[in-house]
Amino acid sequence: MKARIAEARPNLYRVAYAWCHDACLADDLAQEALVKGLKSVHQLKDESVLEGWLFSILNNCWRDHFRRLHPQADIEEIMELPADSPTPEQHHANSELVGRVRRAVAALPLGQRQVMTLVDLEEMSYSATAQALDIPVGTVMSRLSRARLALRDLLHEAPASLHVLSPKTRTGQ
Amino acid sequence: MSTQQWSEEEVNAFVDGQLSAADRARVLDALSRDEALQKRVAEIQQTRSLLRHAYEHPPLPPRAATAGIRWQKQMLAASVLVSVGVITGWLLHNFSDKSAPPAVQTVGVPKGVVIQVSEADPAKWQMALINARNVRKAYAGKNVGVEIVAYGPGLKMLHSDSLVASGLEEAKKNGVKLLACGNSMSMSQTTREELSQSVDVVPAGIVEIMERQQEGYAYVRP
Repeated sequence: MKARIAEARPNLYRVAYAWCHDACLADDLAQEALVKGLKSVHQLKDESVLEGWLFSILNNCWRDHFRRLHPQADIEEIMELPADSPTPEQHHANSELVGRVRRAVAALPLGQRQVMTLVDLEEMSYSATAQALDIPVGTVMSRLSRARLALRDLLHEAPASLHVLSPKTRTGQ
Repeated sequence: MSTQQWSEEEVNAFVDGQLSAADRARVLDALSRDEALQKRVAEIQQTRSLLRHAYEHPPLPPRAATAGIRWQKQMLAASVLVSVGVITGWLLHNFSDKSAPPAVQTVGVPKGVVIQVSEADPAKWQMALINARNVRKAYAGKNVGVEIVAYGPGLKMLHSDSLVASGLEEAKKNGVKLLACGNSMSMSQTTREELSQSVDVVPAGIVEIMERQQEGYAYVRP
C-alpha cells in the first residue's frame, strides 16, 4: 500500500502542476500530499479508492495553500472566479501547442481546472472526482462541460490573443 | 435529429464513459446519423487529447531539473527520502530497494495511438502513415497498438487506387491497423472491393476512435 502511494507521486505532481502551473509549488503540493497520505494511510479502509483519496488530500493541501495566501477570501468564490494564475513557464513548453493549451487551462476558473484535470489526466469517474474534490456530481458535470467549451474556444482563438490571457500578477507573490 | 436533445453534460458524460448503458446506447444510435453530434463528440475528444498531450511531460521542478537525466532517478529518490524520511524514517528500506519513482515522467508506455483521417487530402494521408510508422518504430517490441481510422471524405485514403495505396500495404505489414468507417462506406456507396486489401471495416469510425481513447490510446489528427 505504501509503495502504491509512493508510485502515485508522478500523478500527483502532474495534476498539481495542471492546477497551479508552477513547478516548484506543484512539487511542494505533491510532496505534502504524499507525506500526509503515508502518515494517514491506516485511515483508508478501501484500497480501491486510494487514488481518489490521494487527490482529495492534494485538494486539501491546495486549499490550505490558498488559505495561507488569502486568509480573508472565500475559497468557494475563488474556485469560481476567472483565473488569476501564474503564466505556465514558457521555456518549459517545448512546443507551441503545449504552451497554448497550458495557458488556456491556466485561464480557466480553478474549480473547472481541477475537475477537468482529474477526469482527463487521471481518467477518474465523475463520482470519484466529486468525492476527491468534495463537491456534488452535478457540479463536476457542469464544471467539466463549461471547462471543455471554454478550452475549445480559447484554443480556437488566434495564438496572439492567447498571450493577452497572460495573467497580470502571480498569485499572492 | 439534432444535438438539441442532448445537453452538454450528457455529451460529455458519453465521451467520458459515464452514461448509463441505456443512455449510452441511445447516444450511440443517434451518433451514426447525427453529424452535429459527431462533431461535438469529436471536439470533446480533441480537447481531451490536447489536454493529455499538454501535461504528458510537465516541467521538472527546479531542484530536479538542475540534475542531468542520468541523475534524475537518484536525485528524486534522494529528495523523496530526505523529506519523507524525516517523518517516516522506517520507510527507507522500501524506497531504497525499489528506488522511488521519478517525480516527473510519463505514466507508463501508452496503450497505443489512434490516428484520425477525415479529409480528402493526400498530404494528410501521407502524414498519417508517417505518424503511424514513427510510433511503431519508437515502440518497437512493445505492445503499442497503432490504428488509422478513416471516415467521411478521408475514406478515399483507403481505396485500392488511392495515391498512398502502396503506403497502406507497407503500414499493414508493419502492424498498423487500417480501419474504414462502415457508415461512411454506405453513405458514399463504397463497396469493400473498392478498398485496399490491407483495410478492415468497422461499423462507425468515430465510435472506434472513441472506444480506443477510452482504452487509453492517444488520439492524433494529422
